[in-house]
Amino acid sequence: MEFAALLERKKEAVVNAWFEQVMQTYAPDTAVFYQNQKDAFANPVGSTTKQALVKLFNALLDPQDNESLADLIDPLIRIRAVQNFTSSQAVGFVFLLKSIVRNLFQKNRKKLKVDELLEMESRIDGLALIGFDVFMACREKIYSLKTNTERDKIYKAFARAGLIKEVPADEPDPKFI
Amino acid sequence: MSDLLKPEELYKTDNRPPRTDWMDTPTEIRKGIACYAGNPKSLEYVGFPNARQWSCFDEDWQLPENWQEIIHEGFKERLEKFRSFKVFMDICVRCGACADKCHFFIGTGDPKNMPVLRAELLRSIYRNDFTKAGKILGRLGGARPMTLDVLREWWYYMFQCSECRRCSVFCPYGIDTAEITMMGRELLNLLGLNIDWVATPVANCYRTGNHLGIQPHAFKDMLEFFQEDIEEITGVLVEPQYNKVGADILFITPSGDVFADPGTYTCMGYMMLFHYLKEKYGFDVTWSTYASEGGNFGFFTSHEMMKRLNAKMYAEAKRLKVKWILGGECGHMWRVINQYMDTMNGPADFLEEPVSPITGTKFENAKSTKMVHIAEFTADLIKHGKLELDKSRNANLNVTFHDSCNPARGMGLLDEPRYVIQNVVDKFYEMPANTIREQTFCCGSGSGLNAGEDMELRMAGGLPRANAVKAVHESKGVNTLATICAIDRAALPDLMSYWVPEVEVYGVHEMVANALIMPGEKERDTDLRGEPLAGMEDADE
Repeated sequence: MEFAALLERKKEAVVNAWFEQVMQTYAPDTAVFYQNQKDAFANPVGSTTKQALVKLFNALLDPQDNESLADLIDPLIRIRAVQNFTSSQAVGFVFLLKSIVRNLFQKNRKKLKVDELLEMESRIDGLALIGFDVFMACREKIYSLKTNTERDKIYKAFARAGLIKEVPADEPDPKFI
Repeated sequence: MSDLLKPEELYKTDNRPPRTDWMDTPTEIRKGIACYAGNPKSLEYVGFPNARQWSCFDEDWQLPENWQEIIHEGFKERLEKFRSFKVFMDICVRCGACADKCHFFIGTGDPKNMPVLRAELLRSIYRNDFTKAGKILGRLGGARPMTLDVLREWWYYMFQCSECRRCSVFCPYGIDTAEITMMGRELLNLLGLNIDWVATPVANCYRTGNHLGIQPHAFKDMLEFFQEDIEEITGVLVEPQYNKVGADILFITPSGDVFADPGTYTCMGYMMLFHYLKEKYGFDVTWSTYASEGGNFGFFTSHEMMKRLNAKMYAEAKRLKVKWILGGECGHMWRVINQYMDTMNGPADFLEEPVSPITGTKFENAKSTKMVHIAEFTADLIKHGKLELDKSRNANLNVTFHDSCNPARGMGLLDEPRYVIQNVVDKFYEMPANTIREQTFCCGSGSGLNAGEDMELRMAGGLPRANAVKAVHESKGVNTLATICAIDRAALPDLMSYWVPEVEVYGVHEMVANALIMPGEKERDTDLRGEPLAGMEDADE
């Protein structure tokens, strides 16, 4: 028996267990809401998380290029990057899948080759690194929004104080005539 | 295999938050969520007590020695003065209907952002200090004494509420949680605890007339820039009137429309509309360089401050001897006008009941406040066929409409902006029903939270709104988010940039002006932003 085939068969249970564990990274009352409210517009965090985990697990079973994996993990990391998490907590949910996969392997270990488990775990490690890239991109975006806000404020204050003389768009600089 | 370490043992990070009761979970004030403290000079300027340089990230907040007594007395005074506050403290049965309706709770996942729990922060002290049951039962009865930790918690969470009142829509008792936040902020202000994004605009507004402290000549300069831009785009020179005594109507809009993109394009829209109406129908409207702010950050500070800032609009209307006031696209200004103005500074009986001089329509809803929302005014003009419009100039815009919290929930202005939009653009799609109209989700930056340092809070709080925009962007190709609030126009571009970067933010009157066929105009090849109109992409070449 192949481990990949087993994971494919148990896909729903594995993703549900993963989702459950990711939800435990939130406060208990919050987790209840994120798990139970099924309306995607009343509960964007729960629904986005669930959808992303389903897609990510499919992608781990059927390996894809890094760019596609980044696109799949982006919506979830984008949320966790602005929530009350440290960097490791924001990205670390990827590793929660490892113990789920490993437990499944343990239960069926006589029929399986350990190489297959190791390969799956390597893919999970790779996904975590891609998650880290996406997390950094999100944080950089936040910082650029903050920087732009401050830059704008200073520019406008200078402009109002009459300290800015811009080069007119339609006239050449006299120095260069 | 069995001797291998488990992955969670390998990376040894516990992802789980504390499982303690909320009263035992200490508040950690985080950067990215909290705003900077108010500048002491701004607090002093409006006569607020205990002004000092401090930071919420410091251990020592330099509180006055008797701070607990100040809070107790302040609480008592407000319970006696405001029946609604007393009722809201008593009647909540903690049914939880509001709990999952707050955009800050939905986005941040922080349970203390559930409206019921945010209110409990105050109620627990109320029970302890003012109820027999609380005094006898103590913690069993949900009471706790006021401590430094509680004060820090108040500060942190009273400034994670945008007073949008979505939770109130779902409360079976009609508890207005925004008013609880307002009371919480009032009490904090007694100790000099305010944020700078509220305190400094308030001081500027009180002194100079608008949030940025723009003086009258600079205000006029800005409108002159817009005159030049409008002339370049349309070939028509519009000439606004300033401080004209005896004009029919006084126009007041948030200063954000005059000084911050993309609100500036909306401001150009007002100027073009007024010019059109003047040419066609002799419309007589004046701008004021003194009442140059529609927004009222006093609303986010205290009821007295709200009253003081609101009064200047009416003082200016009296001075200029106008008949009534026309208000621009603003959010909370309309809640102040519609729900508080009459009892604070009204009745404005020196003004006339507003009647459109062009259509003769009586604005019955503004009978007492004498102030009409421009979306309603323009919708009425369109309904009577008074505007010549060319929708094709907005052909590049695929629009959805974000109901701003206060016009929607604070005055029921739901259909007028939609009617205007649908008359100036062809492609209009609604977001899902539970994210619009009375149930609209806040931009996440209202009530003075539109600062830079709390960007994580703003992005998390704006997630439910952005998520709905993303849905119509993906399913309908929406590229334009229209709105009638200046804070929205300032805050939503950042929100879109993070969550749905393909969507731009527009004011409704910017789209009106794009479509408006001005008398004597040249053939336009760009919109107000200088972007080529549909079919004019090659006009430059």
